[in-house]
Amino acid sequence: MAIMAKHVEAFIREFFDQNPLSQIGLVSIKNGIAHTLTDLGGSPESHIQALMGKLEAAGDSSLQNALELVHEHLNQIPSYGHREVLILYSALSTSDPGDIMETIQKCKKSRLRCSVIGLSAEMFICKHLCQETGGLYSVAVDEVHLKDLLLEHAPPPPAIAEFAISNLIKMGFPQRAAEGSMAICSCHKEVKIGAGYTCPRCKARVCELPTECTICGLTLVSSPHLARSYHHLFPIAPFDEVPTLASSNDPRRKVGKSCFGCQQSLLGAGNKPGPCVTCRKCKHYFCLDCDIYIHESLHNCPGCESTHRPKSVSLMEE
Amino acid sequence: MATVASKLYSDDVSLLVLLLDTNPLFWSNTSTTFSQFLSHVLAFLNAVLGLNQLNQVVVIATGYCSCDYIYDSSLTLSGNSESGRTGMPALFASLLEKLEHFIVKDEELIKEQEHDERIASSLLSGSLSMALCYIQRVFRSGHLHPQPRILCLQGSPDGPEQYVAVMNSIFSAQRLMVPIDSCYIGTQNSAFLQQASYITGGVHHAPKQLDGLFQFLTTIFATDLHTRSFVQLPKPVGVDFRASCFCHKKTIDMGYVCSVCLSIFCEHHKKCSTCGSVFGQSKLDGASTVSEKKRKAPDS
Amino acid sequence: MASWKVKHKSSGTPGTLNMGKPHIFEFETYQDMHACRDVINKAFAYCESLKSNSVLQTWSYASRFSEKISNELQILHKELVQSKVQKMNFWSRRKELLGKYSIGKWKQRVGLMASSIKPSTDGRTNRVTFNLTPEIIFQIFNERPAVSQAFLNYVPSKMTEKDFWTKYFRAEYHYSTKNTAVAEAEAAEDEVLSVFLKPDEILAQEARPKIRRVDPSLDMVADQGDDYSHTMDLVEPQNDQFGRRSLSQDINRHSATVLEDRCIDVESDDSRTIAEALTLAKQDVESDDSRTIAEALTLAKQVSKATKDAYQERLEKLSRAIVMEDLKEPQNFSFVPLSTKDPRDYFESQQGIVLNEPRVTWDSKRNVHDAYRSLKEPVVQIRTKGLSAPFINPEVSFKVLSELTQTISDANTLNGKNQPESVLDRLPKSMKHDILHHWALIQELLRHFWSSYPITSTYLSTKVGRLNDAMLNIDSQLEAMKEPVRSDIRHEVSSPVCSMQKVSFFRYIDKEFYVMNQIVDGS
Repeated sequence: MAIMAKHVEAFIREFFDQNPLSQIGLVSIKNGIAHTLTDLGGSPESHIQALMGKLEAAGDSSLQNALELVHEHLNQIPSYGHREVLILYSALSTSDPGDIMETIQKCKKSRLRCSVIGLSAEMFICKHLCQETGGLYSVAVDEVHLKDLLLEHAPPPPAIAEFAISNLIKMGFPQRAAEGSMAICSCHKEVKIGAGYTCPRCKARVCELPTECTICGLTLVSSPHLARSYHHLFPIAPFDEVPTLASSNDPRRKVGKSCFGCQQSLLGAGNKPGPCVTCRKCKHYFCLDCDIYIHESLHNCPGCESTHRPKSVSLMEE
Repeated sequence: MATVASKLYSDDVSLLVLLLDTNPLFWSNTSTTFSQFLSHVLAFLNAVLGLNQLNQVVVIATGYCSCDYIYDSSLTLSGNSESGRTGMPALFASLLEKLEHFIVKDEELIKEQEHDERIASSLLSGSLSMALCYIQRVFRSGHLHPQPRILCLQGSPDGPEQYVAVMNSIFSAQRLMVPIDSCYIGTQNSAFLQQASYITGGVHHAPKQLDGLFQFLTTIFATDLHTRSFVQLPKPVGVDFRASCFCHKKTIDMGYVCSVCLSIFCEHHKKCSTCGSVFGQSKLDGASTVSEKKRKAPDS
Repeated sequence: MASWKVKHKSSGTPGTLNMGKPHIFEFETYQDMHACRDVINKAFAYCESLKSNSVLQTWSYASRFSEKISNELQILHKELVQSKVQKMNFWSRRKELLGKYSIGKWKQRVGLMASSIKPSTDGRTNRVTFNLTPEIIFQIFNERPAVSQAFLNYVPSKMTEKDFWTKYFRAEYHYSTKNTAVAEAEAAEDEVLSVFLKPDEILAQEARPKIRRVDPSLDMVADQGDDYSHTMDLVEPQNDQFGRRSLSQDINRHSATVLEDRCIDVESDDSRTIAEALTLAKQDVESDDSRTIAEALTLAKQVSKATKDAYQERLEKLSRAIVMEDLKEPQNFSFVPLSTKDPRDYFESQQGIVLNEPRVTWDSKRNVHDAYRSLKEPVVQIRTKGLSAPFINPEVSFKVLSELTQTISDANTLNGKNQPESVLDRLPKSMKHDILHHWALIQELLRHFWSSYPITSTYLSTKVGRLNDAMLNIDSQLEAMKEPVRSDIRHEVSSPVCSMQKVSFFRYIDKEFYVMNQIVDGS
């Protein structure tokens, strides 16, 4: 349990990093009944605290009860939101009070994408569930594999055409309150001084973003939250591998001696050119480590960003 | 976010990556001269290197058409006698030499550009990305390494087309737990730098008197990360997180967001101008991306 | 009206429902409240004729909350409902906020696995007690058809039901305690027990044709892992006579019932009456008649064998297909393609703050070169000549340092590091409590206020008007409360509360104006 909890904690943090406007809720199955550990919420700390507090395992598991509970919770999400369930399943069977096939169909109808990570053996019912709803089924073989599988679920999945309804959502962009101003916080119901955000519509004070204003119900976000998701919209093209030619004197190959990003030497043993990659657009060379870092975390090509944009300013005029 | 587990930092050794603004369009327009500025900066670098024997400094120049590494203190050979007579000690001779070459190269590149009206912004996103790559390399080098931080000495205004790239760099720095300090010496406010320092936990300051720049730098930006927990540094008055709408480009505090591409509008539209999705219908034909999500993860 | 009080003596979380003066219901547990609901509904039916509908509806909303109803809420409810806000709206708004309770909530029940039925032991005597409910009986028959068959054969001809079950559970107990010697001895005595202790014959019979259908050349995993292969051995290993059913066999059997059981419902279109009886037997599990259940099951399995076979076929095909899933068509959810333009086209507008200010532009080639030259010169100069000392004036330096120090200490004071308490903390506790209470009331009113926008009907506009009046009322109460407070901090005391009110008031005025204009235009 402890290992799983540790990995789930890492997953929660990674998830909120990649999807700042999303919410997570935790459900545990014990003795055949599913319990809600935490409600849908956007703050990683509260989830992690609840998770660490309840680390006992007991009794049978019931897939159907869990799915029904999750379905109830997620039904309240508006239509433009994506609904998903990730189940960490270690039991070898499920003891259900009713027909699980019906539940699976219900989930499918309400566009609930179910994925399962099995911790023991592969089970038909889990596979069936994932296939029906369009999720992923995988079974972890060891701890490292489990961590990889979990983190795979953190980036958002591609949107399914029929289900992706686009909507214009009204949102507010609150200002940070001036230092020293006093207000009664609407989430804690006590007087707070200084840091906090003011809802632009009803002027209520909230403590953190993103959240929904408790008084008027307006979704409050800050522009970095939206910006955090922009790298999904504008993914960086993969770099091309540079084949290591036998002769390092090939004139066509204008490899610089060092990686453009980190200045590490690109020469391998004996001054022969080592493995490196190149960006198609800016033609700069990068080492393999930079390649990994750029594509997984940075999402910017330093070479492209360091090249002056060819567009003229006239496009940017108002 | 905190995927960096237990990195053994030496206590107060720091690696300072300085992003130097060498945008000619800015420097020819300010009251302070570049030579004054440069002398303050060189003295500051000397001071930082003098604080601890193991401190390292890397300087990246942010030019108008390109960015490049100018100086790396870990690579400098000691006792080079090239300019042993008068002039700068060997410590900075290579820095100045490379800086000169960089400016020459930048000038050549600008000739190839079109001569329309230019916005005088420098390539901040490029130098930030390079700095982060370097820092990532330092992290890879093992357990014992100095605590890295980035100091942005910028005077040019923000280039709006760099917004996404700068935000990506900021978030990556946040994940690596690298603070981005910023010292803004221009006339307008730089929202990029304010947000960068706020999000990554760095210090932002916009000094008004540039002839005292050295004092500002040594008071505020010379402290290493460990010492910052004991020292009080000036806090910014406020950070403006408001967004601006795509249709009129004015700052708004309440607006409509497309659920598909997250572009912001100030009034209700029938169609999103960025991704082309028609609102209220499901999309079956092209032009859409990842939708906004709310997910849930149960445990078993 | 008379006041009803129903109390049950059982422990648990109290569920108190306070619905207004004439009716007070107190229950010790939530389950009891449900139980009494029928009684009370009848009572309400009587009341209905005398009172309006709103009370009933309030009741139905309110009954869904039990542990969530805090004292605070009750107080709020009392005050507000009696004044302006309708009860129904109060609860419905609360319902949205609390969010979890909806009509038709899934009530969780525990499913059962036949091998997991455990007895309870009495610590003192040597007795072991098994609890037997119809659900358990059904599950046992479902998973162990041999037991079901034996039941039909032996009861009521050879023994009573109670005996049958005693024997069954004795066998189970021996099996679970792995007591081979006793098991053998008892089996030798009693043929019924031997049935229980041996591996399930019926299952084995069903499994054999299944095994034969599986092509071992493809299904290697099934070949290795499938425990049914044990039952295929024509020579039973001697030690295994008393059937060590392995855990995986149990689990597999249970899972099979989970998967295939209900499908009999779906698939069968002939022998409808049997199927109905089976479903009836399933649903109406309260029936104590184990025999009916067993019979229904056997009959259903015989008659609907055709459909069951069809289902089995499908199951087999599926499992085979899963093995070769790389050849299988993936389930096609058509994903929406990514087609966005260069980010630089879009996000320039994000920095509207900068754009609004005049930008520095440059339009002459000549000046650019000048600019570069002015950059190069200092570099060269410093390189050759070195830094001119002093490059900074010490007075300037001192001035900068003192200004910075001043700024930092000012900021500290402002942040309240030296003054941790707020204005409200300086007031006497009762007054602070009152203010906070008023604040909570105003919050509640504001919630209703904002939820009524946009105003689309006269009902909503009258409601908004009433809310506004209520808030003004509270405002005046606050003013009265502020009297004893010192004049200089009076404003600060009420400002956190009033600022939000002001906004709503302006909005209200706005709307009224707008509505009035519409009326004027329309007429």
